[in-house]
Amino acid sequence: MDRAVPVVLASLLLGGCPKEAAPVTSWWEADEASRQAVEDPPLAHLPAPKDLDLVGATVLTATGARHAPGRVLVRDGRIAWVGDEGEGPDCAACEVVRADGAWVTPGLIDTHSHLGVYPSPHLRAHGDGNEATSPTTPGVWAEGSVWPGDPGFRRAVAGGVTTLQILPGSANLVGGRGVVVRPIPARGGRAMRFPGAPETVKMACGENPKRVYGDGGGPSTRMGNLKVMRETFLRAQGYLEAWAQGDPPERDLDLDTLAGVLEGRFLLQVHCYRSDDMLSFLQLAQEFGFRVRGFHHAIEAYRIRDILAAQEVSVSTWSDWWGFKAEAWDAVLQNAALVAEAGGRAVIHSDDALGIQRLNQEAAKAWHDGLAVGIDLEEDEALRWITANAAWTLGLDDETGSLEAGKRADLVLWDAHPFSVYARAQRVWIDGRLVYDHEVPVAWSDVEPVREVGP
Amino acid sequence: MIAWMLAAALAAPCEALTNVVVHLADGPVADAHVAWSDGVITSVGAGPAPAGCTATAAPGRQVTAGLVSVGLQLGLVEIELEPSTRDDAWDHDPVRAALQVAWAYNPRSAVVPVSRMGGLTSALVTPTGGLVSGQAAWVATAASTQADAVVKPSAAVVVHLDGLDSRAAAWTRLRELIQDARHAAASGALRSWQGLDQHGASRLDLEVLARVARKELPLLVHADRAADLEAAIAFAAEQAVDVVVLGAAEGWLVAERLAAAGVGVLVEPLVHGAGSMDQLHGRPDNAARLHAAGVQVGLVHVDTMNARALRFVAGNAVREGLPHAAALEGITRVPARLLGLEDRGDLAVGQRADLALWTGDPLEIASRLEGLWAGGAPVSLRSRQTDLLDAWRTVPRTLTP
Repeated sequence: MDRAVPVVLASLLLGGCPKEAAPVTSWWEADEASRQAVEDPPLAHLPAPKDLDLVGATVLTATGARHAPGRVLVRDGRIAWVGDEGEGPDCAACEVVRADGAWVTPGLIDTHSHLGVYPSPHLRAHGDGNEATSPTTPGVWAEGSVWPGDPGFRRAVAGGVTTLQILPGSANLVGGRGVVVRPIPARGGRAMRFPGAPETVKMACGENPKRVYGDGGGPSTRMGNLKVMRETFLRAQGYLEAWAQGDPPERDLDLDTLAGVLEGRFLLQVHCYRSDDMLSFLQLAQEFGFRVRGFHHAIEAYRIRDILAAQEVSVSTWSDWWGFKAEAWDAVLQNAALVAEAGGRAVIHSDDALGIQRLNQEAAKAWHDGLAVGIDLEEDEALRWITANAAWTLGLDDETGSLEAGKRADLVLWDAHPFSVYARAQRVWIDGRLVYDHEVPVAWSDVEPVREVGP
Repeated sequence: MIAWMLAAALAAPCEALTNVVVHLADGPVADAHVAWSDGVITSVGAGPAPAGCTATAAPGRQVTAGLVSVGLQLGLVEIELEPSTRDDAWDHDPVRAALQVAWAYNPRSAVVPVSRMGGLTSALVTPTGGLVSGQAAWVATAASTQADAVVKPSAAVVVHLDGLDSRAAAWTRLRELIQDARHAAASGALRSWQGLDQHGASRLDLEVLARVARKELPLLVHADRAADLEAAIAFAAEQAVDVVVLGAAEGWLVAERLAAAGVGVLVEPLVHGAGSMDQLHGRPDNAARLHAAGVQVGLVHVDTMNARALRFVAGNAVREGLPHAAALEGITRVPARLLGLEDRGDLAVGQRADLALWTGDPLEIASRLEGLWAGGAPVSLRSRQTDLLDAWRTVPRTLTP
């Protein structure tokens, strides 16, 4: 599923002339051409992927299986085999990693981050997450705001995170495109992109857009929010019709993004707290025939968990955040657990530079809060909230999010059960590359020189 | 003889938890008890409860003092983004030492019971904004009236160094305020109200700042940058005032100096990255290093809505090297003592019986809070959130009672 051959060739980077592109007959081809005008930068500066034979740890797979003691084989950056220790194929060429007493999980995935676009240290000049110049800015791409120097990326991987979705903020009804990245050292945002990840689009309902625009031309109400969203999708429908008629319209970056939503090519990620706001949004989606991939924050998802489960909309939420605004007032600690119990896809996300450093603890809190009131979910289910379900939300469930043969070798080795407050990620692999080793501190960001990063 | 018999008959009954682990100042004691009478701890330590106590055995359970949290707007702010529900500031003037948030404390806030779900029994609620933000108050989380809730309406004067145009301006103005308050008290101006207009603050502000000058009240200074901590140490010495620092993200860089000056710190263990330019040199083991250097270290989670997460924050500090007992002290006795709360925060004879009963290690995620007592009386662990859960345990909600 790696990125397809670029439409326009990489000769741009090498100083040559771009080749003549074939005539574009759809917005989609034009959009692809924009995104793939250059090849993905190489990752030669990272440790090479190693073939590994990881033996002895308790392996939590996020597939329902648990192997104790277990074994994970990694070949060519992919998981080759997972099972009990003492079983499985030989791998003479593998580096053997004995991990008795340790724990292995899939790399963690955060569906909602603003690392890079609201980087640390917090500075006015670093506020690149909200293009708050219009209530709809579908044409902006978060990738263009990602500052790879954000020290939060290294701290995220130190917490076991191997994939994160960076989203525009929620000031706008349509905030723009998100970008799914790897937390790896890079000199530009592009080099961090998860290869082949689907495009994602951020929208927001409820308080934020009406607060930001209420005194500046609107919308200023929830009905105003919906009217502007409806108008926006009507324009996008017209744009698609114009393309379909064989007379290509002038290219419109805003409408390209919305066309991606309408055609189901891009995965829609909607910031929404209140259950009635979510229902209004689902109504809009039905009217225009598009899908919501996931609601984010979704404090009141528990009230409509049956509907969200039936419509296969994932729910990215926190374990315990609440109360910072009116639409976050009706929180329960069991939101994720209730969604899971109803058969829905629950996800624990961070939306926070600190929270992303301990997604394992947040999932554990939400799981135990469910157990405490008799929502008897398995440990594996709670692990899925920060792995497999998150991968599905990003359209990457065939690539990562669980320990299964064929998937990318995104692994975390923990020194204790990952649901313990004392657990620490000892080593983290992305595509079989050792990108974090607790014993060998390496600085990535010039904000935090290594001598200050510490153990 | 008759008087003695009468006294014995009227003596408050003794209650006790037994077969528990008790977390004392220097560590846990297994197979122990804690007993209390008339709201006060009467016995704690290894073995069974004293004879005559009504004992409840709780094998496998662990008991700590009720948790103590500092720096919250608990009971002052109901919904953070709704100005009509905020009572924590006063934009009138950057200097409002006289402002007492205790007068605005709402014991019926829906946020307070949520904090109790995390074992909090005491909180120092603080004003925000300005340079001299006002007076922080100690409150008890289990109380239904202001009179019962406010334990100490004036526990510290809160300072924010970003309250003026620059830090230089902030220290200059603070120096002027302390000196003027001292002068106004000594000259009799505070009694006579004569000549007060020649001082740099209002009469009420000067009265409070005079208490700071007499070391009756500490300054609680929000500061993260090591240089600001140095300045705070120097200011405390120069002006002969007590300073406690809230934040101290870069504290480890000046740990020895903080220890030598006897300046205690309240640190946020989760704030250990370059979140701001003031925290550039933050590191995960900040609390551990400060503690090792002999600094009095309290731990805080400055998140009013989610104050209940304090114990997990302390667990993270343990992960980064802070001894477990020091972490527990950091969320009970240390913050209480640093800010003048003497009768609670410690599992010790004579302390108020604020107790938390946990199913396991109090800092571990899998452990649950099973019981909470304030002044020896059981406290409800229900909240608006548990009510909502019950209402929506099945969907859709029905009209069936």
